[in-house]
Amino acid sequence: MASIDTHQPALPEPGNEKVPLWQRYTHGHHWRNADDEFDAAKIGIWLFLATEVLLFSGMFCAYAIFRMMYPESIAAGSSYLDWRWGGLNTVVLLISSFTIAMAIRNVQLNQQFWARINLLITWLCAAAFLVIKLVFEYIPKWSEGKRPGSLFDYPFAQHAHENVWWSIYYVSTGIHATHVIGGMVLIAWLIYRQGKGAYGPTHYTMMEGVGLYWHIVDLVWIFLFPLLYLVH
Amino acid sequence: MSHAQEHEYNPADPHGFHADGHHGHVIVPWQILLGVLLALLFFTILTVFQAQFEKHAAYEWGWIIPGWVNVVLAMGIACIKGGLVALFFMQLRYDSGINVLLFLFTLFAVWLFIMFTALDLNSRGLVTEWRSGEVVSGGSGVGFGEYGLSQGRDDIKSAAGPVYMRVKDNYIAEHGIEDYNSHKKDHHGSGSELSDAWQSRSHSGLTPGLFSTGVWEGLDDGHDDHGHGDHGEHHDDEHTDEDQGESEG
Repeated sequence: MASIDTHQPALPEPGNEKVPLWQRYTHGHHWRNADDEFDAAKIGIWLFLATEVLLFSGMFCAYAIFRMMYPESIAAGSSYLDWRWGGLNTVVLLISSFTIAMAIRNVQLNQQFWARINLLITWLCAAAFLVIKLVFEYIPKWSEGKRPGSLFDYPFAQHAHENVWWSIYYVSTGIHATHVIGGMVLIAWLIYRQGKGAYGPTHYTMMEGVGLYWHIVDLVWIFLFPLLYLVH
Repeated sequence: MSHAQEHEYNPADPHGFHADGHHGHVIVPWQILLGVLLALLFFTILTVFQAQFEKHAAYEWGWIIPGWVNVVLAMGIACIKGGLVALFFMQLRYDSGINVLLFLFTLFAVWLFIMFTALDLNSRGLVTEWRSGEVVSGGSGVGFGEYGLSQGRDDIKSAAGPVYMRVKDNYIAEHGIEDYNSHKKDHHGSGSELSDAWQSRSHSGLTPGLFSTGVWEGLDDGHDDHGHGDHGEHHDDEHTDEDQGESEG
């Protein structure tokens, strides 16, 4: 990753100091051309995304098992969640997915100002997602005793396995939220580098990779939302 | 993919090192991106409406829509949304075939995981009769104390029974039964907040004592004969409690 982004000429040639970083970028010497480098980097990202999908499929599989074994507890647990917060977070993530796709388009067209605006909106949407999750969902539920496994402390439970429901709820949304935090770090890095002029029509590999990662985070939430909030 | 054809073969440069390698990356029109966003928002509203409709129909009109309809619709809509994200936002529609292939193989693996899990769990009913005595229903927190998973909570270490019962008993011991019942109303309301649309599902779960018509009927009977008597006693407690709970509601 580092070599992709820092593969700049050591010093700009005399007279071209004003040329933006993305124009001075040269691909690695072991590549035939910049496109081969870009395509190879993209395959690498897709391989990583494949492992991400497999990670979350473990979560989905656990959900399916619990659902088949304890349908009443999963239904009761799901009814404790408010679809409005889940739905709002879905909208927030969908918008952020759109803005990062737009940011990549902006960079491809060298619209640096709009690329910056779209990246900032993406980052703010990610932050809004986490705030909604934490303030309106995790904290109230945890303080009511709706906790996973042996931490369960909710005296008004209706079914024996509601602690199992909270286990799969916290683990699946928690791992997803961890990915949102990771995405925020990456998007912040994009904003910083974009400010330095690192991305433009002939070089935006890093943005493409982070964009794909951010879309998979959105994709996972598209499935988590109905499974946790809607299907009962 | 396509740039190989754009450049003619040059014997002096067989790998195209000196050829101009720009095959032009796809720049997705903003109209398509915006259209996909709007479609995604529409499908989000549709899936929420679909789930709310099932609850509303159950409460107001007494229509019990089978549970699988809800699952199939919600997952179908999620698949359409996921497809839109993958095809347009992630540009698989325009991308090199190798990336599409990679993603499809991954989805195939996901399908394998879930399909074989479902095959296993859903076919256990076939062997219930002779296996039921060996099955111990888990997940209710019965064993947390025994296995040192009590997280420092003395009530879990010492008490027996599933964790949700112990938590409830502790609350009643501390605040009294009147307080519990009044708060229970706050938490569960008159039924408007809490869905009972799950009644449209077939009840084949392992939650002990809830439904006498499940596949696991006879679970308790076979229990003691196969040396799991230490768990059998909790089930009796739950039977009585759940019966009370159901008659109240």
